[in-house]
Amino acid sequence: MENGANGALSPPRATQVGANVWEIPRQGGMRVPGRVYASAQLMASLRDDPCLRQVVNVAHLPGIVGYSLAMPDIHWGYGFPIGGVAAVDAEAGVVSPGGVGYDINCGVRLVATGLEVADIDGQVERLADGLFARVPAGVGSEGAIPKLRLADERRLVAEGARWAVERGFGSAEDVDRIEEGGRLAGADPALLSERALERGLKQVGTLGSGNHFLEVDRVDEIYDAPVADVLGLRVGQVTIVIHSGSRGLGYQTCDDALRVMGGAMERYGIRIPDRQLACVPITSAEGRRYLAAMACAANYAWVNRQVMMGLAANTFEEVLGIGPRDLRCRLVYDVCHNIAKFEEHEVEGERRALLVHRKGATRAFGPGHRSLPDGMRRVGQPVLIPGDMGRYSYVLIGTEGAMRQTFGSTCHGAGRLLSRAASKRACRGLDVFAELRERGVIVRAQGRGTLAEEMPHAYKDVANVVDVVHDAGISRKVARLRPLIVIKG
Amino acid sequence: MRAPAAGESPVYEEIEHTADVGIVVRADGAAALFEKAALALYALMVDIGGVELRGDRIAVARGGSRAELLQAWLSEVLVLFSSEAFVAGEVVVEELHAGVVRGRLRGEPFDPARHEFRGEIKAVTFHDLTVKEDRDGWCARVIFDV
Repeated sequence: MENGANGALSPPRATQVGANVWEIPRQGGMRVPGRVYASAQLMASLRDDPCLRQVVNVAHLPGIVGYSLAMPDIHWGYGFPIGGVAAVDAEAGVVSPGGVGYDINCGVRLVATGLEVADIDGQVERLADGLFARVPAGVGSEGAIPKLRLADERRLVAEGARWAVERGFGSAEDVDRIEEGGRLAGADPALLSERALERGLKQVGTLGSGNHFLEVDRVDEIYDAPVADVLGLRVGQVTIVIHSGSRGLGYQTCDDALRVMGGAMERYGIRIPDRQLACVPITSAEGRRYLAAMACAANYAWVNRQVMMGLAANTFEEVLGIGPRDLRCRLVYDVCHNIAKFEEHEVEGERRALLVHRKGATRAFGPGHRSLPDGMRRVGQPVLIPGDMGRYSYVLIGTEGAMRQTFGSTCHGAGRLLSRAASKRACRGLDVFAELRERGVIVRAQGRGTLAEEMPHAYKDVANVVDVVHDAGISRKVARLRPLIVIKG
Repeated sequence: MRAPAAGESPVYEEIEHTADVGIVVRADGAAALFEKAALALYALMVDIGGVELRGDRIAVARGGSRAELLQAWLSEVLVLFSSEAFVAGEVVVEELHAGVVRGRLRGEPFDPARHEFRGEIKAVTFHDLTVKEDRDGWCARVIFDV
């Protein structure tokens, strides 16, 4: 592999073109320049990182317009950098499953409750036990819906979040608070492989492991009171954050597509620097089939998060001995950060239909966008940025600046600092549960290994990442959340 | 090939990859390389030192190049865990030639009470995937999405 990320070529040079913006000029087969959103400090830490080479590789995709973009939480991924955004022409461009990732529609939802921190005082340990017992990790175990049949699974991937609401998980109002109303158009269950359906069957309503989590947080600080008010957030309020995706069904769908596209690329005369960037024309049979299967996986992920939200609400009610009217559980918003979506954006003064790949990046539509629900259209789209489990997470709001600069996109998380192996080494001899308890965070986890890999020291401080997107004007800070309980797979 | 017992050295080295998990596996021959890589994949997910060899599964994979074949093989092995919750403590490659690998995995159903869970692997990526033979033997480099 001539352009592999393991040091075959020297790292590309980026020059500063704005306060928090760096450009990698076009060279070789790049069709557009690269643009990285980062502070000088973040950029210095990336200088020899393979992720900048990945920004260059993505710029080779046929039909890419504007820039190969990277958000400040950029880090080394497979194929695309994590934190990468690539918009391609919807007619002449390609779709790349690697630009979506294996975990199709991995995303985050923020759930508000009517509770204050004082209302769960003395019950936090019991809540943690209850949530850990009720929300399965889904590894080698039955899912949350044990008797699900293949016919049900085909329906749920076609119907999206509404399927879960009709089965008692959450309420009908939640669906409007999900990107695309919790159902990506064009889903065709007939295009999923049997294996994808098989892998997904027992995992509906399960968390998975790695960096996925369910958290109970308290709203710790409000930066933008009018917007927080519209979203229904106030200091001291108890909230729930869920980070998970499409589980085995999504992983298999990506794997199936890469296999097909690896063989098809030659036929379409496409040459790219990394096999993991395999792509085909959007309008080709292979491209259309992938997008229809991807939509199924996206819908599965929304069902998954909707079911877990319902399970969490039931747990709160049981443990606290209260009813739904006291709990007042309501979805604030649900975002995807691994997806490709057809959107219209202005490029050099012209409205164009584009397919926007966001791989570890979040949509951040500004005020007035017609796809936003009525209640929040005038303020913009909420953006949910989880930090590491010991510090804090952020709620941001989409801006006009994001529409102009980044195809309505922003960051998705803190970004890793240490490799998983290095993080585990740093935890040797350490009681990670006690360490987090010191910080006031109660943790339940199935695997101690995952916990050691996910410790706060393994991540950049998400505040630095959020400050970059705030200062660059591609989203704005609204509120900060601090974790009280963390459930990990 | 059996999984190493507690205290024995592991069958793989871990690559320092920031977000994902990568391994380097070395072996004298191609079949042993495929066996070791499969055990490494299991060992990343579960402590396989104490897996009892109570049942078996056959995995068959096809792929054009050696690297593609290894990716397809490891994907088959991964699906045995993610769909059937089967963990292997022994892997024997019975057939390996141009474009096809067939192996027998012996092990048992995953039991969280006896097998320490280490973390889920989502997929076997093509990113920086290499399989090569040199004078020291065979070597593979694989990055997993976790």
